[in-house]
Amino acid sequence: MPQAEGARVATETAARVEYELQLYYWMKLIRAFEERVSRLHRQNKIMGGVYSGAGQEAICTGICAPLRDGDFVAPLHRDLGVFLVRGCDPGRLMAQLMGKATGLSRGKDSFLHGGDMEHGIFGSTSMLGSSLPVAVGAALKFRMKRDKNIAVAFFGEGASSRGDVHEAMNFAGVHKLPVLFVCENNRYAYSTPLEKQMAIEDVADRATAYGFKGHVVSGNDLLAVLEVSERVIERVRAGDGPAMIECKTYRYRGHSEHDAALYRDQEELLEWQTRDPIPQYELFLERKGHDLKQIREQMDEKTHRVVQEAVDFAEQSAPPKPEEVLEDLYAPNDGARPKGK
Amino acid sequence: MPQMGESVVEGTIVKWLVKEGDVVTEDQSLCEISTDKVDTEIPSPGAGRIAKLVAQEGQTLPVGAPLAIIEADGATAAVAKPAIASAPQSSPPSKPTGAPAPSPAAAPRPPREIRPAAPSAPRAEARVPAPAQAALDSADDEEHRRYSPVVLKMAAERGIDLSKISGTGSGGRVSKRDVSRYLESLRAGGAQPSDANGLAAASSAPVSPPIKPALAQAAAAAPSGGGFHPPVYQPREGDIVEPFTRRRKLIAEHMVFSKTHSPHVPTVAEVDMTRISRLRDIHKAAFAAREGFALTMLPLVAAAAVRALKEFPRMNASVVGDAVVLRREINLGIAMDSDEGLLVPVLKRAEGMSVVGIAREIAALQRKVADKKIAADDLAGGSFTLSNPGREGNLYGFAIINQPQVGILRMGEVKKRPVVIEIDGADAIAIRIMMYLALSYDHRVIDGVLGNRFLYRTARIIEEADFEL
Amino acid sequence: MELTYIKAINSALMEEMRRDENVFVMGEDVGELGGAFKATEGLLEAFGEERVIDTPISEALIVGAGIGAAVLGMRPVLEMQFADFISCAFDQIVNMAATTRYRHGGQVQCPLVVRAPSGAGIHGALFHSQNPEAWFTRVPGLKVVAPATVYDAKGLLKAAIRDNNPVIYFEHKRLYRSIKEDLPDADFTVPLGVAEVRKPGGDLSLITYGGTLGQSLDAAKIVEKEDGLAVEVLDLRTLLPLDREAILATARKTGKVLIVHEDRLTGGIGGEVAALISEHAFESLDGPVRRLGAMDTHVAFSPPLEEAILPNTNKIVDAIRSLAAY
Repeated sequence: MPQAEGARVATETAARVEYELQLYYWMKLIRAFEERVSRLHRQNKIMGGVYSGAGQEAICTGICAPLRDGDFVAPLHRDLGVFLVRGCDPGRLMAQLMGKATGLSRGKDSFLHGGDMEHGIFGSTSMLGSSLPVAVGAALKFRMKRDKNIAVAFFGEGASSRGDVHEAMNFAGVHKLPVLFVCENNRYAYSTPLEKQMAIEDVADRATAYGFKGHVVSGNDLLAVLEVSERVIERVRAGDGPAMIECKTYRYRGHSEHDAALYRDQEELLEWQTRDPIPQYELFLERKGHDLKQIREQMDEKTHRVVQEAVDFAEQSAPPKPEEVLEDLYAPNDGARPKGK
Repeated sequence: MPQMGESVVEGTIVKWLVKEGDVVTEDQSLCEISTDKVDTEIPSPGAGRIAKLVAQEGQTLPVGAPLAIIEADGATAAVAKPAIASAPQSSPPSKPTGAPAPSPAAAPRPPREIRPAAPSAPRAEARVPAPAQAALDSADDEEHRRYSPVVLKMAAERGIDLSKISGTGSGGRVSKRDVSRYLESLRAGGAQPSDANGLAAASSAPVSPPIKPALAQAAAAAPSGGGFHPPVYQPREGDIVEPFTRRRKLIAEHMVFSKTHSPHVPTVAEVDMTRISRLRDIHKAAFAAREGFALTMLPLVAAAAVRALKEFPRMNASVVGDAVVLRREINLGIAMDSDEGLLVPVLKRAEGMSVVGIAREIAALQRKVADKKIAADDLAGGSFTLSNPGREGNLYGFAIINQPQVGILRMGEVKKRPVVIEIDGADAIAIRIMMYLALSYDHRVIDGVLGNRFLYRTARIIEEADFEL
Repeated sequence: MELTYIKAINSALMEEMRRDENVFVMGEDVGELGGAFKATEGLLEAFGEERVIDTPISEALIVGAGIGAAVLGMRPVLEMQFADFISCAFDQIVNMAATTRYRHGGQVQCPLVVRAPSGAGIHGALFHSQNPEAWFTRVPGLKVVAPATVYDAKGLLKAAIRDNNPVIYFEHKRLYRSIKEDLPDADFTVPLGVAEVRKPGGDLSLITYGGTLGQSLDAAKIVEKEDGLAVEVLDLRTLLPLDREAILATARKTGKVLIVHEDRLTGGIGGEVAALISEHAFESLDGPVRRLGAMDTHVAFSPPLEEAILPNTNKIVDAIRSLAAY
């Protein structure tokens, strides 16, 4: 990736520059959005379980950037960034967290469980790993209908201990389905460290057991993630079969907002924070010739504005009415097609 | 025929590998069979000689059917069917059609149900889970008479006294069927009371005719079951059909009820009305001038009845369930005829009335009836009834008790008759004004002596004619 | 055309797969083998590998993948080889399929069918005899059906496939080849959520479904002939949503209700039906609402044990008589 300084700026197309700034925007937006969510939670404006992906922004951004319209993504609780990168309206996302009627679930479920199927995002349940078979089913549909789309399933190394994950990978491998399994290995499932979760070091090794390739990548290095994801996604889309990308990373905050994560080594956290994805990428942008101070300020202002608008929209939105409790349990049978794909 | 799979119910003999007379060893293949699920060979269950091939090649038999008979060491009838297939696997088919599989003539039809050998065994398990369930049932079922919700509802709607119904449910419980049958029996031949006085409050307004024509109702009310039914009416031109009014229906039902529930004992007394007639004659002009209406025998007899009731409180009573309620007040009902039929307005608290008061009250009620202004309150609360249907065709007669009272007096024709009287110890014939006074009483609660005594006393009070006019 | 219950299921699958190219079948041994019971026989030949998928032993995957395909517009018919194995897919059914539309705020629908051969009386022992419907009848977002006749086996399956919601279809394996019916050739469906009076009567109501319908009708015939009792038999057909109107109507008509199911007594759906009746038709009751189900134990293997545990015509007759005499 790195080329001779100075030469690059001249050869880069405008589209590429825009793309690279877009990636920066997404990471900044994810960071700002989640920080605000954390604050709102402590202000009691967001209730229930809140799970921060702080420190892991490069994964959502790097994996989702190469995806197309119509691709199916199944994120888990720490992947709020997926929603923003795939085009979910930040206001609706914030309303979702606040349990408002304008939220994606219309108040029915919490946090990210509402998905956003208009943008191909399937909401997870709390049973970690159960979304992998669903993603495999989406890939099956794409195969059957000869769609050029792929399915992407996010999961942590913690979720990879569940049986559903293995049933899904096994089946995908047998049928060579167009599904990408993305493991965010942040070394802890709540308080359980990696060595208590598995006897191996790399979750990616499991891919071989199911007949496909697993790629290990530094999850905090956006460019590294992008390099792998662009390449692998293209192969999956071309019909080579499933693949796994394991992103090594670390979560800054506890498992949830209620977790101080005292089971972890403070030194470990500090060490990972020196590898924060955003400063790393800023370094890259700087080397590419951007005025870092300027773009940082611009980006901060923009993301702050977007987040504030989202908060305003959500706070002004009405909560759902009690009469709605039985709505959306059943789909009508009048032949009307559902929204989303 | 073995069961080669959970849902398999039959198999076909493809080929016999042995023939009759062959000696076979245990596990030796006897035949090839084919089923929906799989084709296989059947091993012999034991050693012996093939005595008979029961099933033929190509034949399809149900699971459990015998295929061959093997004689082991000279003994007979060890049937070549594997133990597990000794009983059929499934219940027979349900609605709407279809025998499951063709049953070849040679193979005996397997029993319908898996029944344990001892017939008592299913009984023990029959009510699942019988022992545990019975333990949960409440212990005091037999103590009180309890009625199910639907029975209570029916009783309330129809004004039925449930204690009158004998139950055929367990422990003598009154079931819905019992109530239905009871209502049916009333329709066919009994009366149906709908309020305490036995007569529903009739409004003074004209009663509207029922919706259904009487004929349709008669046809619809055909009682179920056997027994006598009146011949079905064939309409004839010129016949006039008067559907029951509501009042008529109520009267009819009341009458039937009264007759079927109270064992009526009729008893009659002869009353010498001579003295009381004279009393009346003396005062009638002044009475009429003063009161504005004529004085008849009725108030006099009514006053006498009231006095007698004071002496015989048991006659002034009601039957309520399993009890007799001796009423404190004497509310004397006076049966009257009206355009709508029989009405029985009530003199309330007659025990406190003089004969004049009684006369006034009767007159007032008669006016109300004539003006069709009688109200439900006027008809309610009676404790005894006096009937005076007039002289024509009424030498004497026995009225039907007004439910739930226990007796009813009826005045007969007042008429001169020759009677034997005693003058100075000697018999003579005199012409006296006589009347037969009849009493019907309810022998459930009024025994003969009491009823007769009451009647006798009433008659004597009339004869004494000790009244202030 | 006369068909057995299992052939009716096969026929329904054939017709629906022909009618709608989005219908596909997935499960263990459904393709090459044609199904452990031959329910899917001939489908692979007719529609090919892409639409008749043989899976590894992975119940969670079978249902989960079905959900993924369904939210994108397919209409999978998923098979649990035995209803007993549905427990391996429990999470996907009750937490994923049943909640998908609800938590997505109505944005998507999940039109899938899970076929599950259930039922006892065939020496299946603990894990080939279960009637697990009651685990699912309490889950909003699901529908649950249990056809008892050949006609319903076909009609309800077609309706389930066309329904835009996840439907669990419990087919009673003892009925597979033991009942036959003449079915119309033309396309027909049986509506979900509608019970059917199989036999009208005025003395006592017998409410049942699935494997015990046949026995119930036999019992009703016996008491009619021997006792002169007119028993009304109501076949629930759909267990979620229950046809409350039909249940209450028959209870109000006769005043005496006996609920019969092959599922265990305690926790079986009979309790829910009984509660419904006592709550809404109390005034019409002429006796306690009673239930007859399998004993509260596991369906044992050895025949004398299995017979003792399961309902049968005799036990139903006794229960009818006892309640009628109350």
